[in-house]
Amino acid sequence: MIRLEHISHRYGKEKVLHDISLSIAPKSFNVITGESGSGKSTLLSIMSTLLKPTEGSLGFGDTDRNEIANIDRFRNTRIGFIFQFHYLIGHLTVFENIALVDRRRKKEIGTLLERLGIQALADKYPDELSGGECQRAAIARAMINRPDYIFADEPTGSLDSHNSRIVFDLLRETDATVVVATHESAYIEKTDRHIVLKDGRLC
Amino acid sequence: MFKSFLRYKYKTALILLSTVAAIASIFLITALGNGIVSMYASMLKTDGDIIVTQKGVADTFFSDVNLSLLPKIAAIDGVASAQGVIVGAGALGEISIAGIYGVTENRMHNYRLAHGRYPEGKEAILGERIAKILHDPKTVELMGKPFRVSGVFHSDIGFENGGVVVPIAQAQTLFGKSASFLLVSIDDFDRNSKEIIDRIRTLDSDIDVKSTNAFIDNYNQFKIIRISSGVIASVSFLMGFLSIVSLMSMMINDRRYEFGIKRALGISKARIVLEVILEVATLTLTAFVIAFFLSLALLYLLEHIDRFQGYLSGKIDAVLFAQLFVGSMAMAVAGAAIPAWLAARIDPIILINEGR
Repeated sequence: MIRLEHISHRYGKEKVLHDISLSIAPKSFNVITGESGSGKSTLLSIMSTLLKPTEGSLGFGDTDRNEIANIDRFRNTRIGFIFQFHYLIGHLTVFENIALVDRRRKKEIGTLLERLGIQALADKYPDELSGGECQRAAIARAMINRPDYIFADEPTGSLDSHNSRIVFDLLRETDATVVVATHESAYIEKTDRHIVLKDGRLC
Repeated sequence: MFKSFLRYKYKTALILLSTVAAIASIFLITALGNGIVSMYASMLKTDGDIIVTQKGVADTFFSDVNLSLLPKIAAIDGVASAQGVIVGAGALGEISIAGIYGVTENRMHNYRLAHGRYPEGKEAILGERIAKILHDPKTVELMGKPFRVSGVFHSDIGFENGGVVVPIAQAQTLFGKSASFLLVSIDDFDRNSKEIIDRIRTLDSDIDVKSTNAFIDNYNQFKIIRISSGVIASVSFLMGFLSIVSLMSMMINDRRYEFGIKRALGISKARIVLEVILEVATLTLTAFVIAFFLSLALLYLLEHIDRFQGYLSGKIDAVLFAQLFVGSMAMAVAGAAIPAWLAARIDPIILINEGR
């Protein structure tokens, strides 16, 4: 379970999240929606430990974020993050980008790439791929360690409907707790929980 | 690791060039400074154990010692030999300035005769380098006065090989002094030196008498050269350091996005910093090797360019090599690790958004 208690966040003087408290059930599929600037990405970044909130606390099960002894290891083994844009490292191949997470999982990387239909692109660089291929590689990177929590920020925002479907099915099929920030109606229709944000507050 | 070098080719090349320039300038400045000191020190050390200079005159170029002291010094028990030397500089034909040495009995031990004979009367013997520059002339003009060339000598010391030697009587006329200093060789330095120095001091109240080693250690001109080259080398070191720090900061800022992604994937700060350190250490090692060989080549060229008459002679010894190697690596590691560490401490999502 993910627990958020009285989470607020400021960028400089601007407060973008106001006193958010909620809990996310294990292995559930959750969707956050809200208008642009409503704080979806900031909330997702805080939930995924990529950003420390200005106020409030975040916990995973019984463990508070600040009590996690090795936050890097926690991110590496238990969290997968899919960004709106693929954010692959330009001077590394698809395979090397995924192996950054765990270089020992060569066989699993091959299997995952095959499942995503991009096994032939393992040795290509990001600038040799289409947007959809890059995003599928980024999803492979987020899922290679079979994380307990997957966070996705507009994962299909730059994809066509075919690739969007592939990404959606992958996220829906996983055993992990999934939180997706999106505008896509397909996600909202099949979600376990729909969280709506407006002006940095829960509706 | 090397993939990021290729990814940031321009900046990698800039850092490499800047590091090469910084290291090579330290090598050259320090080596040339030390070379000047060691050349002059060698001249004095090999010619005598004790040096007699004019009291209160810090520079041997301005010192004037009475040459008539020589027979009195030579008569002291334990003295093997004594000689007078005039050290000066003046126009030599078309060359505006050259080292001119006046010696008694041609006792400068640092040179060997290449051809001809030692000079007598209004004759001069030329260093090999200066003879080559002047195309082995039969006569030369020293400070406007004609001298017949009696021969050519070779010396490993650049100041001598690029200079001219005349009998001390001629140098006295040219420079209007008796002798710049007297050099005394003694039979058993360890046993007799203190006593002989004291004996010489009693001969004239207007002289300073020291062992040549003590004189070299305390010679103000050497101190000035050493301090100057040390200051200039430190400044070039500092500038090299600052340029590396600023270029590395630029490179790190360009890579904030990459660091942010790596941090988001759970790669530790320590591993990111270690990767940066390894990259920079490889770059610096490459730069050091290039700078070392470049410096050797430049020192060779400087020593053999006729225009400099062999006066610019520098050597890179093991101590300088080791100091500069350790210093360069430390400089590069500090310059890279600090901005990398500061960047890696920032929340991953902020790094990604800033670097996007």
